[in-house]
Amino acid sequence: MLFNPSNRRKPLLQVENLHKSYWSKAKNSFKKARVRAIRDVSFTIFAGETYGLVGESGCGKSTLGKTLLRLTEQDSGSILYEGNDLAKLSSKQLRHYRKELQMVFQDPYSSLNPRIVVGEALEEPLHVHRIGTPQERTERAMDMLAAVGLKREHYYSLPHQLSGGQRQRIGLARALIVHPKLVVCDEPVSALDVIIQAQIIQLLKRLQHDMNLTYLFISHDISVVRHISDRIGVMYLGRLVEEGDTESLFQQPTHPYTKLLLSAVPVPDPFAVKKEWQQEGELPSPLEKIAGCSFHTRCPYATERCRLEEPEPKRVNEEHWAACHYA
Amino acid sequence: MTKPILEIKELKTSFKAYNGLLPAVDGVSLTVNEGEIVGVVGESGCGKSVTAQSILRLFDERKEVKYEGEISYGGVNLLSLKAKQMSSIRGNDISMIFQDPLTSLNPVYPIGEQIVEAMLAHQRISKKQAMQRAIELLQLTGIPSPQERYHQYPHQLSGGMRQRVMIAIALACRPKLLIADEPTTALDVTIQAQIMSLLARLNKQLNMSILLITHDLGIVAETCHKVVVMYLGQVVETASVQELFQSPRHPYTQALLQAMPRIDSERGKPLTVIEGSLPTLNQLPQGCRFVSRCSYATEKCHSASPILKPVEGVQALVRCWNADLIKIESRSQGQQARSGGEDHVIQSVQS
Amino acid sequence: MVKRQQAEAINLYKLARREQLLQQAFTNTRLLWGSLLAILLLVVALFAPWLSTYKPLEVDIVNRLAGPSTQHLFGTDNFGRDVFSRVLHGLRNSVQVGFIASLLASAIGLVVGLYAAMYRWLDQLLMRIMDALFAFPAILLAIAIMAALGASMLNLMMCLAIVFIPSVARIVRSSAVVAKQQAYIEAQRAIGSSDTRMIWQHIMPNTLPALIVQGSFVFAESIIVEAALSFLGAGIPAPTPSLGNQLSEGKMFIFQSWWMTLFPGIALIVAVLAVYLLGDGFRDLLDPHTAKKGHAKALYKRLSGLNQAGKEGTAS
Repeated sequence: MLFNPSNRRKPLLQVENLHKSYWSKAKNSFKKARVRAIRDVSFTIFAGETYGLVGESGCGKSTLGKTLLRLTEQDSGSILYEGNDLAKLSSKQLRHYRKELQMVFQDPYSSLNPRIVVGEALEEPLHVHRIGTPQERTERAMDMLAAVGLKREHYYSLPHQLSGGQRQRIGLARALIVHPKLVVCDEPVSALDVIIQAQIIQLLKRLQHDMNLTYLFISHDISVVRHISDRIGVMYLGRLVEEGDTESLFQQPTHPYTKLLLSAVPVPDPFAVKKEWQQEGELPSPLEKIAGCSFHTRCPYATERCRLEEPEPKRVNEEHWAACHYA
Repeated sequence: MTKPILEIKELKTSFKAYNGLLPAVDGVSLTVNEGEIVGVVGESGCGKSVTAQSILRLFDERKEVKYEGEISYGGVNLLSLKAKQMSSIRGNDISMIFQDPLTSLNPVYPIGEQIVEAMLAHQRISKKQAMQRAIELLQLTGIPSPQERYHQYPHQLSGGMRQRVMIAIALACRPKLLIADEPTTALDVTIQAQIMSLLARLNKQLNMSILLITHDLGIVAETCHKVVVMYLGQVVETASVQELFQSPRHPYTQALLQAMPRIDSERGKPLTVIEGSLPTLNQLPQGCRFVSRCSYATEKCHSASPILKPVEGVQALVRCWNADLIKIESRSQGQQARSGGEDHVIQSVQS
Repeated sequence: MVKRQQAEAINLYKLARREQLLQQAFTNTRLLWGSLLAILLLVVALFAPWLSTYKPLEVDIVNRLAGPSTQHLFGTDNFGRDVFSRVLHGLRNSVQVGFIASLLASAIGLVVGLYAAMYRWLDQLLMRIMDALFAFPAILLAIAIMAALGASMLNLMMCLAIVFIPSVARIVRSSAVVAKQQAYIEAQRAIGSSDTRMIWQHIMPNTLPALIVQGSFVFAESIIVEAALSFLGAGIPAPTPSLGNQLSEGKMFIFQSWWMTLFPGIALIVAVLAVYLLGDGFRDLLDPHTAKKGHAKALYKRLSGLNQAGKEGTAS
């Protein structure tokens, strides 16, 4: 890894040169085209931190989260979890690690089986990993319900009897019941209203503290990511274009894409200076091949060099880098 | 100058459920003036979209819905119009754009033709003129190379472009009022910024009023002049955008503002959270609808339901028994809770 | 304590759901008629030996080809056997064959469909075999199999099962594919559960409504095909009563003794109708999509009419 910020902290998950592509039908032809969903992504998540991943839809952030848990297979690269390469494990060996790496999904409506009572859904991971007796499982499910701020009665509810926020709490409880170390949160609050969203964010923070969790927090909402993350990676078209600690990234956004993204977020302050939005470009289709820097089609500062040469990561400060020729 | 173009008085929209009528909108009053952008905010299920769709009477009145109250547009009560008269208002005087631009466009016609259709439906112009104007509209809404795009089908366009086409169709008959129902919720943040600045530009350029339904207070702050906050089918606060963000009066408005992670606030401070979840429409609490989640609630709030009334010293209308009391408390509390945001506000006011 | 509460809560839920389903069931006329007829059919099939007035093979030479009378309700056939008793026993055999065949077809089709939906390579293999079976007309295929196996009741059931496996497998596969894409199945994978558990615990219940509906149609179809095969002489062999071979025998005497054809014919129609109605009713009950289609269509019409106002007539 080019920048290993410091050796004081213990790396929990190290991703190196990860690639993932899939075949998709092109819009106007019958030929299949290769979509490069993740291109040469490397980053490290340290134990106990929250690593935020932001980007627009289609940038590959969700695919990245799923690839890390081997819900989809990567093409090449390594995923080192506490020094063991998850990418090389057989699915049998992997099952042991599934306990330590869990996932919280975006849609609290569809990520719960509508036919199964909440309590059974919670006990399912314990059942799968053969933990405890039925009695113990039920007790643990009850404890977990309390931990995520639900009542014991909810054990008997069916998903459709719960509100969106409650369902997301169940999703969280189900991920945490096996005491994982790393939790991949894939847009966990995007489907929720602002007040419920705040409740879930506070809950995530409290549980992180209580259970000593490490989060990979994937979201398109920059304000939320800023609020919850210690370090942030910005993705664009399958690539990590900038990474840094939250403070530094927001004070000194360096990559032109990060700047664009930050300035697009509406500020809830009618007295703030209103900006006239100038940028008119759009995300290119992921099917197109873009030579050089992938952002040059939208970048106001793009030069000949950007069109030809892929930029290397450049260091802004010790923990902050950006992949731009002119960083 | 501030001539009202749309006045809703005590609108009540009830859906026919298996066990009686369910009032999704319960006594909403609001006014949109000429050239004004009015934001309607609230959580999902608060009735903001139903209000918007009630204005154009989009629900099936024979089967599913019952309207009460008054929606007056240019002196005419829309609720008393016949179906045929109503359809001459839709898309002509009042247009609407939706959250999902893909399902609102017909996939089997080129986009240009859909704009032309909208024009020919209401106006007496030749097809050639209409085509000419459709291209102008595509240009106006910021679609590059409109001549070529005219012949393209919806699936060939990106989400942002489709929303621009929807706006172009909505503008086809030069409406005086545009209702935008969560127009950017399905879009990415950079595209959202483009669409919102387009709407703001059209508002100025064409002097067209906009009723903007959204859940995003950031968007409201950046584009709207006036804000209506809704909770469980009722308006709880209406105020100018400055007033609302500077001194929110209703406890619910305060909760909304404080629950939002802000890009401009100090980092690391916890969000202020009110507990509990939204009651359902068929299990409303007695008295004030917000009482179960309100930290200021008193005896009175539990027994009697407050009305929307002016509060001392400000222009805002607030539906709260304790609005005058809360004003004082919220100042002192607000200073601590939103110090980051507050400082920012003060600075901008001074500059 | 906890377990008991849990059991109580689940029971309460089940009761409520049952009540709701019952309410829907009683407003569903097809299901109502279907189940009434089906119950009648079941009673006849189960109690045929007690309901019938004669033994089905008992020959009464004196009263050959006698018309309906109080002695022989439906008359007698060319051997002097009681048509009423033979119809009852025929029904019993038809229902038995149809029921076991459809049960077999459903069970095998379920397994094939589920595993085909789960594994790509298996999908290619299994579904091509299914396509090949599906390409033959049902009766032709059945005759071919019966010719190969030889005529007997057991062989007939197996043959019908083979014929109807593809239709079940296809339906199950398509609803399993839909279920597999649900986020909660992916969530299940993230938890670390095995494929077998995922298939049987989480995907299978989603295919049950479709399976029940298809199963009942297969039931009706197998009664028809069985009758057709017996009529052609490839089904249940001769002395054993079956609706098909009674019709076949009756056709020779249709101008003199209409009762030999009419009563087995009516029995066949009623039996098939009962099961079809039942299947149709189940579909309405279990598949909410068919019920709500009209609503969604109306909504789309209104929305599309909005921005293209005036286009209402032409657009949709």
